[in-house]
Amino acid sequence: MTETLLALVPEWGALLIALTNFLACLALPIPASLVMLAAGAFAAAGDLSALPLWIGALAGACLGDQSGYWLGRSLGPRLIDRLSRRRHTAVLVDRAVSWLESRRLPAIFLSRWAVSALCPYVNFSAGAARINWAGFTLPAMAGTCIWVSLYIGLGYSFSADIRELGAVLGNLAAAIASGVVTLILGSILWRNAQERD
Amino acid sequence: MIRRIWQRNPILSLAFLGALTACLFFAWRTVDMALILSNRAEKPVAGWMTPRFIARTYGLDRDDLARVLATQDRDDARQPLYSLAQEHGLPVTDLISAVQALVDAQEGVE
Repeated sequence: MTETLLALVPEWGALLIALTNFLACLALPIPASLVMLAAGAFAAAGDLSALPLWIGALAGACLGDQSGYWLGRSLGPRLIDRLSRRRHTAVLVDRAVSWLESRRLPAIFLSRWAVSALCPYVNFSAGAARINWAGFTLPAMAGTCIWVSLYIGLGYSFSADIRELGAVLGNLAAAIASGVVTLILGSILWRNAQERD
Repeated sequence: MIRRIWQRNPILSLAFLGALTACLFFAWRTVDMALILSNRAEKPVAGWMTPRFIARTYGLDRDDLARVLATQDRDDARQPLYSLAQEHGLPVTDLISAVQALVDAQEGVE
């Protein structure tokens, strides 16, 4: 699958990278970062030009983010209603929504690149929590610019090693994402245990 | 304290342990892959590579490469070895080993 995808990069260029980024932003298991690394490497070799790639990658990711956000906005309230029917979960949901609201900027901005594995879930949650559109879109676009430039730039600079670099970065992204989830869950558990004493 | 945490939120506690395990696992894999990347001596030629990519990565002369790939008479840009092999009606492994031989010969010279 990876080999085939890599072989499609030089022939389909910006279109492929836009499509993979779009799908990856909707939580589909597509190795979008490897495709961006490969695109950067082919740009360094002279097969593709960098600017259309960058624009394609950005456009795909932003469209994916928007789709996730609007999906969250339309389906999220019903989901939250259902979860809130039980008193115990209602408290947790309430807390999660206010947590996201109070940390809106870092949560949205950092989930684009530093904790990119969480991006689709933050998109959906931001929509479900009814964070206003501009407040979501601006930090999301800023973070996406960094994500796209970082991966295409790394592919450009380390073009000979993209497969291995892709493996390192993929594992690093998963480690960071699960580390952040561990910290969040840990702090919730800690606070819950200290309450009502 | 640990017992109280577990009794109040058993599902969240399990999720916490799962996330912690995943974090350690992926951190270990990251280090492992990074070591492989830094210690690796050879980079085998693969079917997804394009002639320009191969020429740049292995420092080959583009004319030599074009001779091996039989693409002297046209612009071979943006075509990976897979589709070049398909065009010539050859299995891609033949093309890969021909290019690999050229790379090995070049490395022998250096």
